[in-house]
Amino acid sequence: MKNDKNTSGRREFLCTTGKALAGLGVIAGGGCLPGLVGAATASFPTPDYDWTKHRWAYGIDATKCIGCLRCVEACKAENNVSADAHHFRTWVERYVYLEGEDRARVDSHADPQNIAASGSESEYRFDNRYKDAKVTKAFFVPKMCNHCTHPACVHVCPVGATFRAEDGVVLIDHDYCIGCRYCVQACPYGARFFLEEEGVSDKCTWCYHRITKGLQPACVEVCPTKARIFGDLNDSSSPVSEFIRDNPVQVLKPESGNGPMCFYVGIDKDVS
Amino acid sequence: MLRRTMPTRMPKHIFRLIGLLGGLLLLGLTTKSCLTDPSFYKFGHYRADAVPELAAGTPLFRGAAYCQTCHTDSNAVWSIGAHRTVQCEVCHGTDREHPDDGKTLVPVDTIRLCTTCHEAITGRPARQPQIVLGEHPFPDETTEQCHTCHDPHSPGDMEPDAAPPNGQIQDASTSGASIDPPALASKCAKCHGQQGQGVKKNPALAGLESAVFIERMNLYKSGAREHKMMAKFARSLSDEEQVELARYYERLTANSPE
Repeated sequence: MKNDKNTSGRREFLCTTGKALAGLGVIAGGGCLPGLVGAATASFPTPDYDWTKHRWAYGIDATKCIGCLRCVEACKAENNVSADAHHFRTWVERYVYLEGEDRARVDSHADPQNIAASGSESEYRFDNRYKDAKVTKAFFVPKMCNHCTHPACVHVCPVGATFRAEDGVVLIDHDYCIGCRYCVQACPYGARFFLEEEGVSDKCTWCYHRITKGLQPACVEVCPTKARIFGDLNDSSSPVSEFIRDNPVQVLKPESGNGPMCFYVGIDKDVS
Repeated sequence: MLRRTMPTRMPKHIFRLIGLLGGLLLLGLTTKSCLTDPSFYKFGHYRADAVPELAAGTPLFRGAAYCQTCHTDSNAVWSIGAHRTVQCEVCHGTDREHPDDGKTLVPVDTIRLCTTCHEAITGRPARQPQIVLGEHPFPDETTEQCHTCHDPHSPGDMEPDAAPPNGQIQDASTSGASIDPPALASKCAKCHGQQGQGVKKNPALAGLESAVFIERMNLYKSGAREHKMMAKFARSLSDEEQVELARYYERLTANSPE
């Protein structure tokens, strides 16, 4: 063949380069391996709480929600989230079907009319705008981070600032967040938001500082009608295990492939 | 035809290039390992130390178990009332400094507070007790609050101010002679007006024939006529008290023509 020499030269070059890169890879990888091998022997993250023993999940019974928004207020107080109406880790949507309309009208506490009705951005109330309308169906739907099994927000984070903990809680490390907001865009549920002053993204942590101490998340604690349920799937008698077992539950946007861990009862087609 | 000949051995400048790239790669990796937190990659592509940091926060909401250590009286009423699913801090707010800061956490505007959950708005499930503001009777619209009539810790029980322990009214009647119709009427007045003149949907009592009054009260008592609040009140009255109250209201118009 007339290109023999040419081909063999290229092959030799690729082989040499490949070997060199492989060697460097081993050197670089070696630094990480000890960490991976020696992981998870003692109780982590605290002496009293071992995250490998828990698998948290959340249940929402929309038929019980009265739209009082105590959960929104409690979440903000507990997690020191800005009190204004546009930064929130959890929220409640009202779905209203009017006579002759196929699609629901949706509003939340951040709706200008509801802000006007409450009198300030730091008080959360639904107004009574539909009192003279012909309503065929109406209900409230509490929403929040779904703490997905395969979270899109974690996949897109370029710096490992957001991650899924071993107990199933999707957390965010504000020290590592560079504020690129990819996660805010990637979340199919709109559960993330950006803190302009700190320059970082924020989200619900299921009150990680509470659940690791054996307490319920603040929103669950304050819900007066027990529309919000939280618990450990590893414990078959936990409230959430019973909720999932006793009810035909559904998740939001199952087609997104994120594997959400918030299980809903009492919602319909327009809720996503 | 001109053919370019390729050397069989790798030329030196290629080795130098590989060396340079390798050197840069090593430098980059070294820099990265210096800048990366030691706990990064411990469990995955994230900083493991962030987890104990997030778990370290101090919970704000303490729950009813904490409150009841001091507020045993309120807790006794609350724990068996309709509001037992509503945690103390939902209405009273959270205060990490309480009780050391000396602040009392008693809501003042209970109309605003209670309607958060109990105002009839679109979307609220039917089983939630709800009132239509403007239709619900407030005896004196300028001063009265929800807690004037309802005990917030157990809202089904009326009149927290009078706070009669269960059975006290019956005790008074069975002891005979001590029935005080105006005192009993003051309970009616909270919804039916000070002069029994009626407030909004609540009918006038003044001038009502005593036979009609007694008949209606008996209907509430037996449950033939459904009204949660009236049934409760009617059952708290003895037959003698009911008769005295009926006479009192029958006379009220005759005696007070103004």
